[in-house]
Amino acid sequence: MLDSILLPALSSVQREWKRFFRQRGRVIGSLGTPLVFWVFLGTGLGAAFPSPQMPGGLGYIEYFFPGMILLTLLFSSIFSTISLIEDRNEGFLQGVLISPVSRSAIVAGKILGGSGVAVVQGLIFLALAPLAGFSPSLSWVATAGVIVLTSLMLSCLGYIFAWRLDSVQGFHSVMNLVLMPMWLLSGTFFGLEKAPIWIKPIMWINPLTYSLIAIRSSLYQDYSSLMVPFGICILVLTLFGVSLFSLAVWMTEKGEASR
Amino acid sequence: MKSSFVTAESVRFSYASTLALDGVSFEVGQGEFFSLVGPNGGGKSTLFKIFATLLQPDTGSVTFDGKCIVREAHAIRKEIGVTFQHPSLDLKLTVHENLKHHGHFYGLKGAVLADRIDSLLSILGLISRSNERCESLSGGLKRRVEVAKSLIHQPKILLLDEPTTGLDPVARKNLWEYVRLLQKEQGLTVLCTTHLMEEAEASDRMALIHKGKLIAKGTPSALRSEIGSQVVSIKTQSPLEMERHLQETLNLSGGRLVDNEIRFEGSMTENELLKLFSVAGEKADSVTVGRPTLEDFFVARTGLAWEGA
Repeated sequence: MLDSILLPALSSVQREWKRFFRQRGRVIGSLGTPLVFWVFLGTGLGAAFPSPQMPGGLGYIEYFFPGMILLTLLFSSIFSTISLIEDRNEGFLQGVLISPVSRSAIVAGKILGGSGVAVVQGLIFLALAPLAGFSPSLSWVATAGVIVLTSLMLSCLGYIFAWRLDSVQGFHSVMNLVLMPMWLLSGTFFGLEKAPIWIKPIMWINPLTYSLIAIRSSLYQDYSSLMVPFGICILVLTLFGVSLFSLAVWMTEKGEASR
Repeated sequence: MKSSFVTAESVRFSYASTLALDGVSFEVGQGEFFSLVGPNGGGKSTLFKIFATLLQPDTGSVTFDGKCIVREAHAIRKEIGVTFQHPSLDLKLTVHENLKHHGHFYGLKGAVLADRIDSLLSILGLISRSNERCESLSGGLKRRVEVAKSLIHQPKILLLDEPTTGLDPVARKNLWEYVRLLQKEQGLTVLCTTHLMEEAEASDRMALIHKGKLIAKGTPSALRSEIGSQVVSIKTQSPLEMERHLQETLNLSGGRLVDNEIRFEGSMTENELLKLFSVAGEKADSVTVGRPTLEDFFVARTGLAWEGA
């Protein structure tokens, strides 16, 4: 059990990390993009639409901060699992598939590796929270928990897309058509309560909505007054994660027949 | 030594609407070096993927040492080593890291794994490259790492898919010497696909696959001798005219027309040959007499020119 599942899975995680740091563009890109978004959107919108309720000019910078953590996780998890497409095109994947490793260990390795990279980046972003006006507190541990859970879930989602696609170009259209809208409709820009009636159902079934509420709750140390209580958010995210993981394993097992 | 260590029986496989394998059957003995030969697109790569447990046959069965490749895929994966045509290396990792990572997939670790890696690297002449990233290696070196990778778990059967593609002659020779060595010393059963007849020549036995069907199997020399002891080939720009000419002057017919070539298989007497030379010599680009090669065998069986190389 130890040598047949844990060893290959951890070895895959290690491989993902090595690959990540050996491709400098990825390190810069996945951390830089949300940072640039955050600074420009925050300061730009702040100047264009001054908000009377939020004094000190910090308004949008603070308001967008949870969404930017989420965007970091999204970019990082998804770009890590995109490497599955490279693995296939470079031939590496077939070397993995002919080995006697259980298919769940293959999926777990990829997902733990990808989400690990995302978690670290999310935590670096969290460390910037004082810049957005949040004062450090113990409840950041809960935020870190949400970061971990969200990264795992997004990596599973990335794996599922990457398994079906044969080119990185195809993945970009998924990114633009599915993943970016998921982020835009997570509550980053407008909350669930103020959303137009036809958007509400989409937001309710969007797992990132629960991530965002959970991040906000923990940053403001207010676990119950938002639309969904913190505990329910965690439950929903866990359910999404487990279902997506099972789907990924199932696809990997079944996929052998057609590839 | 088992005479049917690997068996394929009436294997059929189709991709959507195209039939890739149409009832292929053969057996490979333990410790044997067996080649699957055929032109590209003939079905040998599909067969290879089935052997490598990446595809499952639609009907028919494949067994390794009595184990069914579909039902007992997990057990079989421990016993096969696979060298892919397109190396399955992680180019961002070093040679050593690639082998180590792959070893982990077989539950190998620690000192045992380190020893295996060291001995494979030294046998394959890769010690000095151990810490180089695979992206910086030449095609020949990558293939050697690929071979090392496929042997890390000491498999009983080595599957090689067009292993010499893209290799220079020296690298080819080295690779074959090493595979031969393993076959002799460790009793490794080797199953290799190739579109190069001269490589098939070196194997113990071979099977010729064309259009999804196995059209012949046997030792290379047995196959060659099936078409007689001699092949006379006349190359010309106007083969039809030449055919008529030979028919009229020598009453010679039964030649096989392949592109710009007329071929006579079997054997002619010295006298017949001399006549042929004098009659055909003027109009032909070349007239050659030779022992049949495996290419000749392929041409004889399919009526197609061998475009393997």
